[in-house]
Amino acid sequence: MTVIGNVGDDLEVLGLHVSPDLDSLLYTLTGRADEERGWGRAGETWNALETAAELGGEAWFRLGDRDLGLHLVRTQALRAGEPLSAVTARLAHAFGFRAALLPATDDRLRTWLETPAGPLDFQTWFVARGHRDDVDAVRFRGAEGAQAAPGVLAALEGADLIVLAPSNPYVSIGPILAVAGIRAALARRSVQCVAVSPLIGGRAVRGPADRMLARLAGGTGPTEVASCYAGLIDALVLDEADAGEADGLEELGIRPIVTETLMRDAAAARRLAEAALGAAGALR
Amino acid sequence: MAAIVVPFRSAGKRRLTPLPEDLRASLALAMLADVLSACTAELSTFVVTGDEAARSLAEQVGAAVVDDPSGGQGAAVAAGLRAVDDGLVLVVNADLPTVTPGELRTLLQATPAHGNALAPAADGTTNALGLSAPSLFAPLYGAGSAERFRAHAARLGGRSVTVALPGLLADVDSYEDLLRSGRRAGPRTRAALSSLHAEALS
Repeated sequence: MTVIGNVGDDLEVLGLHVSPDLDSLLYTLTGRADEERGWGRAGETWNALETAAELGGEAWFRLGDRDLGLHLVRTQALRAGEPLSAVTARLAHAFGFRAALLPATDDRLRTWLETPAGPLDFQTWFVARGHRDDVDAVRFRGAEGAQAAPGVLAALEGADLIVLAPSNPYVSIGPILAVAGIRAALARRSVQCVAVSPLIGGRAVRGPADRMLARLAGGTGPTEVASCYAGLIDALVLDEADAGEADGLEELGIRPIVTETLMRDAAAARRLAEAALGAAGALR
Repeated sequence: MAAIVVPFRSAGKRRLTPLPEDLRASLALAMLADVLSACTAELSTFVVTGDEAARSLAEQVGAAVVDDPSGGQGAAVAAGLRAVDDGLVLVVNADLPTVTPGELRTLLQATPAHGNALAPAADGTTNALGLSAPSLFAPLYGAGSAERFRAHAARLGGRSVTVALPGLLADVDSYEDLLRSGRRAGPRTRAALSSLHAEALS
């Protein structure tokens, strides 16, 4: 298995390079994530951040002490000229992650949101302003020249099955698909590509995906989710709560797969994976 | 009004070896009882069978009985479909002891206005079907049937939706499957399993 992560939310905080999506993947897949809070590491403490705040330093982006250790190591390696993909592989290996974890690109690609308040970089919009600004368009600065990171295209070309995780299609999956080489590899795939809808009953479990879909795609049903991946997917996994809207997908040439998508615990996540993989396999 | 057709073969599940035949028959009947309890909670249910015990079980739970023409699963389902009103209908196999009323409701909701909802087994066969009308059915059971039911709906200008829910996926093809369904199985299957274990220990 190869996991390809988004780097459009990467930012510099207190002089350190932070890759929030890659780190969430790494913490979650190695059992280090704080499941309850939904981000960062379990058992986290905040001494460094408190000191930074006391000294008038940047404290709006919540970096915990344990988390900071990773950012220190990564930042040092990047400054020494190591590509992000190589550092990420090293960190993942050190944390005992047995599959490959790759950033979509080693190049500088950043997500920007066009809002009524003007253009905002991803973290200003999402964290500092609590994603309350409506989004009129999503842009990926640096996407034009961005190359897929080493190993990404080979993983897509050698895959038995490609899955787009139940994340925000605009700001989590979108920045990955904004890399031209990755989009092209998906468009010419010879195996099934299955996306999992992030919506349950037309609502996002967490975050602004439903509001963005309503404003940018004109609705919050499975069809609107699928329209974000036109030409790139063969099937869409949707929640049982949206079963009644499944059959509109076939007009788009996309097979609907209805299952329970809420990952309330590891067992539910496993059932979702098995259902998605099983149904995609059975209908190959 | 939508209905459910449940075909039940009388010979006991051949694949439930290494159990002796009488135990296989009682386990198959227990699984049918659990499937019927989920079905009758939702919709009027028609059991297609030639088995006397299954017939009296169906009558006990308020399901109608249709005689099995003994031409295999496809012929049995076709006979059941002739008994139901035109319109939305589910076909649910009798070897799904963990199926819930909620899962059947989802199968019903997922059925397109013209076409079918398919609940495939892991091996590509079909555990349950939702049909927008009985005329959408064709006897296509056997290896790879989920894909063939899908192609059949497309030939009739219809759509297909795949439904993958735990109770609709967990068909019992072997004794191992049955043990795996364990605690999640309905009460009749659980009781049959525990009496089987008690017997084995005595």
